[in-house]
Amino acid sequence: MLYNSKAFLAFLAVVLLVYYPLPQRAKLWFLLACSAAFYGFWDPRLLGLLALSTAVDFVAGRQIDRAPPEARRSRTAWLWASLAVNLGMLGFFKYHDFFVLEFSVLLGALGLNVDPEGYLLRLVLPAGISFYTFQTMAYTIDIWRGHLRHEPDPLKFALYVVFFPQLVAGPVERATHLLPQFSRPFGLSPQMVRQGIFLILLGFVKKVVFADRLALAIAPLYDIDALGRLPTSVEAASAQLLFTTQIYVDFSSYSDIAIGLGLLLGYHIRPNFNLPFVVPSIPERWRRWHISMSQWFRDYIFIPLGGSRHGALRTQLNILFLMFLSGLWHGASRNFVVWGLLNGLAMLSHRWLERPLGALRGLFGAHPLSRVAYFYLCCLFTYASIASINIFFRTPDWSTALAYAGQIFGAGLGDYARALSSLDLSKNTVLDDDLQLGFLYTGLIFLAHEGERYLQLGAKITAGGWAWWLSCAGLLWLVVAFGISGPQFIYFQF
Amino acid sequence: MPRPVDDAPPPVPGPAETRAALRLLAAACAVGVALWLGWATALVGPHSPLLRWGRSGSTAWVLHRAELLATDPGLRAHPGGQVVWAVGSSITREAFDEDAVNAALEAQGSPYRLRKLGQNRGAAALTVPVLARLPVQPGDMVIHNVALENFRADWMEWTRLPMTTAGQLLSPGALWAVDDRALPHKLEQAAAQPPAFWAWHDEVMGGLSAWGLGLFFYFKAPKPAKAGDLLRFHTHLRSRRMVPAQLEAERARYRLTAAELDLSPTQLHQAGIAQLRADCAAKGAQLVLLDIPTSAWDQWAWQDASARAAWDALREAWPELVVAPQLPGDHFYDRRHPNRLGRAILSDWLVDFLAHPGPGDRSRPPEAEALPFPWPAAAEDGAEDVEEG
Repeated sequence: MLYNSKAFLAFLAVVLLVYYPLPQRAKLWFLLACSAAFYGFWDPRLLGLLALSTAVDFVAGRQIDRAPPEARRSRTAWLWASLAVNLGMLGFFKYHDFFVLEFSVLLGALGLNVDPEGYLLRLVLPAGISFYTFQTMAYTIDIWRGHLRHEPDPLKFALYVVFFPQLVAGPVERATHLLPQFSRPFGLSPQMVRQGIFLILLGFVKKVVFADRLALAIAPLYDIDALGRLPTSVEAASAQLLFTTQIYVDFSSYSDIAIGLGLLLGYHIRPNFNLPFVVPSIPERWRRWHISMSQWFRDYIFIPLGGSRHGALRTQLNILFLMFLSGLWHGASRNFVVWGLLNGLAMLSHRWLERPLGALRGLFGAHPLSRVAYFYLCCLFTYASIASINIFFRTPDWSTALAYAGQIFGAGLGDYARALSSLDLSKNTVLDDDLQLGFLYTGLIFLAHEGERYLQLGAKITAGGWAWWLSCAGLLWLVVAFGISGPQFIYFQF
Repeated sequence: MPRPVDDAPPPVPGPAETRAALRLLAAACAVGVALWLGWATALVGPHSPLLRWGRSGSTAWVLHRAELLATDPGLRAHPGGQVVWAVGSSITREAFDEDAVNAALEAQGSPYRLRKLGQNRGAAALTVPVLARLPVQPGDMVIHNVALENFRADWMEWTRLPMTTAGQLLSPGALWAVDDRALPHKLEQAAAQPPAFWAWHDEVMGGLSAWGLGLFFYFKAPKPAKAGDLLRFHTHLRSRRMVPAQLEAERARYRLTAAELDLSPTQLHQAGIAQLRADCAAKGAQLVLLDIPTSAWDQWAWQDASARAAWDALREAWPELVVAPQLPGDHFYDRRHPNRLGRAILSDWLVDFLAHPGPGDRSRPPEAEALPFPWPAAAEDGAEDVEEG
């Protein structure tokens, strides 16, 4: 079920009406049933995979926890069982065809021509599989590490896995944070209600007012067959810049709604974004973007590989490998692998240039105005860099990605200068209406983002009083008046 | 090993705080629902003033025209006062030049005048609600164009008809009753309450956006929306919409066999035709089911023999059937829609038909006349985006 659907609004109304009067245990059962209905709405068969992951990790967690510390082999075997099932499911549904195709390309390069068509399964990727498998693997790994005791109540564990606000697209909640909350008595505070409602409405505004409009504005420029031509350099660059805005509001809106729903149900879900839209560097961006997944990769991949404890070269290799895996997690295609590697290279570049960048910072830091100017100059450069790297995220295939890169970077600066000099907003000479509006939306999002950074508007609004009522009324009106029915959330495809 | 995530959640609020929170939640939900319903009932619906600037879909324009015609004092001012209501799909819209037909009818001293209301995807079930809004009187004629693909078993799913369009025409009950939609789609549509809000939201929003952009971006009041080709017809000779790369995708979607059809009386548009029949009988109007043959290429390349046989059998079952002349291949701008060359022929034919009614020739064009794609370039081409209908 999609958040931005009429069925979800009806579903939410039923959940809120029935949930609160129920006794504690019944609340958990009700949430479990609702989560199953939410996930299985379009295809009940997918519940089987979810049940399998839940059952395997419940048993594995119990066995690991019950085994004495000296029974290392047994504990590790159960851990491997959990990882094998989860990664096996993920690998089968998400990566099977990718590896078949890449393997056939490799064989072709070695002179062995194999037609991969007969080996492709073309399976539909179950929604949220990349998220819930990672969430349950974290559970068994934390038990194996001794950070967590096994949850003996299958109801609470199942609810931890399928909790509908964060099931399909995160945040990836750690068992140490979410699971104990299911054992606490139900409690709700006015602050949780204010924050929850505000976040839900804010999420819907971001999604149905901004993200979906941006998506519809730029989508035609990526369908080169239907377009009948390559987009111009200005069109391609504009589309990439606007996609960078789109993915921020789209993904962060889902997290906002998830966290808001959790609050209304009495549960705290950790923030997943911390003002990542305007950032001065790519490493800073990754510290603030999809925090739950970044921390997952850090804790379960990067640090076990040695992290930054074994010298500069090993650290850099670890970073590159981590971003390679991150790219692969996002999608089973060459595009995503390259996207991940480019992000890795960008992070390494920032390390390599640390000294000159530090010197520049010192130079500009002498005066508050120059310090601010330098900050936003870095942010602009980072935004453009991210937009460039995201060519491989957004374009539908490898050839389109290369064509896009050629259009954007192959054009001389003179082409862009000429386009800008002939720009006449009232006559729409350079960009079509939708793209121009897209940049207007980007400006509005920038202002809201910086308003939160400098004025902490969110906290002030949710503190209560008329500010909260008026803000929520305004957000509701924006959704009701300007919301459109657009594509599904971007991260639903992962 | 990394230390565990240990940012523990805040303490659980106590019972008194929880009660206060629930009261706040209830109050907020009540205010929110009131605001939404207030906005929905006051400003979003088929009679919203904002539609003047935001009306954009062909169905919305056709419904608007029907409303205007219902109160048009000049509708029957001509001698004889009879009206021919051509109500159907985009093929109806493209097939007839209303002004040219009416000029010819006036010259002939005919008691008829033509009023054309062709909407995209305007098959029988979607024509019934339009006809219900029209001031049809005894002696009038209702012409509804029929097409084989409208009798697909999965018509609603296959057309991907936007639910906003469907909601503008069909009641929630009628939408629920459409068999071919999967249960999740039906539940999604059933949850669209109030129905008028969801059906008209996008076009009202268009009007609101026009005012917002006009006042805050361009500093002037917006101009009212215009129907343009949505009520009249397209003027190009060849559609540029389809390029060779799209042909395979089009073929996979549109190629028709009898196995995909449902010719039972309960099929959506079979039931629609039965309703049209009943409504015309009740109003004393003559119903004509008009088959405007598609191009020879469409008939031979896109319909297999079983589909052609099914179509012939279906047409024979309709006593109201009239078949329009077969147009040459270059008289269409795509597989099915007449261009201005075809429109001229069909408009002349309609004038002649009204004076000398007849069933028309049911023979199929020779397969040799099927112009294969890509078609030869047109001499003059003012191509625009086109929707299939």
